[in-house]
Amino acid sequence: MNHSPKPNLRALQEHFFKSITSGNAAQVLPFIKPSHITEDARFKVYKNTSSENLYNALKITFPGIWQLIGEECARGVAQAFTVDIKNLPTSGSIDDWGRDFPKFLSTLPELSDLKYLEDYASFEWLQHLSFCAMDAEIFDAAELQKIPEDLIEQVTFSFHPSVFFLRSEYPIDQIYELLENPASSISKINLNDGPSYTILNRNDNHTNMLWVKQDYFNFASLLSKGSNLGEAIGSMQALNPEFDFAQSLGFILNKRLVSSINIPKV
Amino acid sequence: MSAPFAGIGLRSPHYQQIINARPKIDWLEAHSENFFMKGGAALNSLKILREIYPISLHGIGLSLGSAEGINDDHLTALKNLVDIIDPFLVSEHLTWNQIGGKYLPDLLPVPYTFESLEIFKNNIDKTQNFLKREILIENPSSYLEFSISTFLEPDFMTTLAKSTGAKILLDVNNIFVSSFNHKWDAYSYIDAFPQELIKEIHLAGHSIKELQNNESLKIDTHDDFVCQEVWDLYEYACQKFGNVPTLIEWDEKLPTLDVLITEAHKIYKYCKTHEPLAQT
Repeated sequence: MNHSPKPNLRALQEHFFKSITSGNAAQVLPFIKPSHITEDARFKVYKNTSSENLYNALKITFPGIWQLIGEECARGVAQAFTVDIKNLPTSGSIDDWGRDFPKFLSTLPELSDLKYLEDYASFEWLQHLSFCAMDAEIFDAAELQKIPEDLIEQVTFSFHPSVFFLRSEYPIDQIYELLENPASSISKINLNDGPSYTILNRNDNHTNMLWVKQDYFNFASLLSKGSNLGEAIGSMQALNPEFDFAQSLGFILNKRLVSSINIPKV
Repeated sequence: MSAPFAGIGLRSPHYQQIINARPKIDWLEAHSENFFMKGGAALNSLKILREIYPISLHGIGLSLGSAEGINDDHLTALKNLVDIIDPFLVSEHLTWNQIGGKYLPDLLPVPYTFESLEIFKNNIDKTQNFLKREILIENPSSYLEFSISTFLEPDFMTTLAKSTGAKILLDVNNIFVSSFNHKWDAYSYIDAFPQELIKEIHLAGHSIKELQNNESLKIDTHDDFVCQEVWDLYEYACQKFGNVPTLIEWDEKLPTLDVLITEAHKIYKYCKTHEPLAQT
C-alpha cells in the first residue's frame, strides 16, 4: 500500500525529472500504480527514451566527433554531458541544443590528449547554426562600382546571417577532409600544421566550409564586426604591408558572404 | 470540399523526393519543432510543400502538461511557423517534458486528476488564444499509470476537450500499446469518445520489449508497419468516427517513400466509408 503523501503535480514532475536525470527512481516509484510489471521496469522506459533521444540529438549535430572518438566512447561522453542538469536542453526545440558540448569536451581528462576535439566540435556547431540561419539576400558585387570614390572607404558590410568564423590552432581542414573522404590523399594529420581559418556560409540551401588564408579570414572578420572598408584595410596593412585588399574583397563578394552594404549619407 | 484523408509524416530524407515526384497522397504532417529555424533548406522545403499538399503541424515540445506552464519562446516559435505554413491542423500531446527551465526529449505521463485537468486547461487555453485557433490533443502511449489518477484517460481527454474547445487526435497505435501495457480494453477506450471530438487519427508501428518473468511492454517506436490488430482497431474507429484525416507515422528505420505511401494507401482499404481523393 502506498503511504506516501499525495504530491501536487509540480512536486510529482520534479520527482520524475530528478529520477530520470539521476537514474534513481526512488522518489517516483511510490506513485506508480502497482501492476503485473514492476514499477521500476515501467519507469525505465522513460529513462531510456530520454537518454537515447539526447544521445541521438548530439550524434546528429556532432557526427565528426562521433567518428573521431568512436561510438562507444561517444556514448560515455554524451552520458557524462547529459548527467549534469545544467547541460540539458532548455527548450522543446532540441535541434537548438548542443552549444555547450564543445567546451565540455575540453574538460574531460580521458580526452585531454585530443586537444583539437573542442575546436572540431565548435566547427560542427557552427555548421549547424549556418544551416539553420535566417535567409537573406546576397549583395550584388556590381553595385559596389556605383559608389562614389570618395565614399568607398566609409562603406560598411552586413554579412549574410549564415556566415560564421572559426580560427583553430589545429588543422581542422585536414581533419574534416579525412573524415569526409577517407580515401583522400591525407593519410596522416600533423597537428602542428595549424592554425586553420574557416569561414562558413550557406548558399542555395547548402552549407559551405571555406578554408582560407589568414589575411582573408582577418579582413572578412573585421568587416563582419562593423569596421568600414578603410578601417579594415588600414588594420590589415598595419599587420601585413603586402596585404592585397582587392583580392580579399573580391573573395568575400564572390563567395556571397555579404547581404548588403551601408553607404554613409553625404 | 472534402478534408484531406490519407497522409504521411514528413521526414527529412523524403523532402526532395516528395517535392520532385509529388506522390499521390492527400496530406503531410510535419513535426513543428523541426522547422523552428529561421531559414535554410528544411524550412524552405516545407514552404514549397505547403503549396502542393495540405500540411498539419504536430508538436512534441510544448509540454501542455507542465505544472509550471508552457514556454513563451516555444509558443512564439510555433505561432511564427503556423503563420508561415497555415496548416489545416495543429496538434500536441497529452504529456509534459519541461520543468525548471529544463527539457527532457520524451513524452512524459501525467496523472489524470482534477489538478492536472486544470493545468492542461490553462495551458491549452493559453495556446489556443495565442495561436488564435483550435488545437488537437493526442493520447499518448504510456508505460505506467499513476496511483493518484482519478480519471480514465478517455474521460480525462473528453472533459478537457469540452472545457477548452480543443479537439482530439486519436492515435490508434497508442491506444493499442497502452491497452496492452495496462490491460485496458482498446475497443472500450474508443467507445468512450464522442464522435464530434475526433479530428485526426494516427497509425504507426511499435515494438516489444521483453522483460523478466515472461512479461513484456509494447513500445511506441514508430519503426515498423502498422500491425493487423491496429488496422482492426482503426477499422472499428472509422465505423464510429467516419472520415477523419488519418496519418501513417514512421520515424525510426524509415523506409523508402514508396513503401511509406503504399502503407498509407491501406488507410482507404480499412476506412471503407471514404472514397480516395485524387492528388493533382
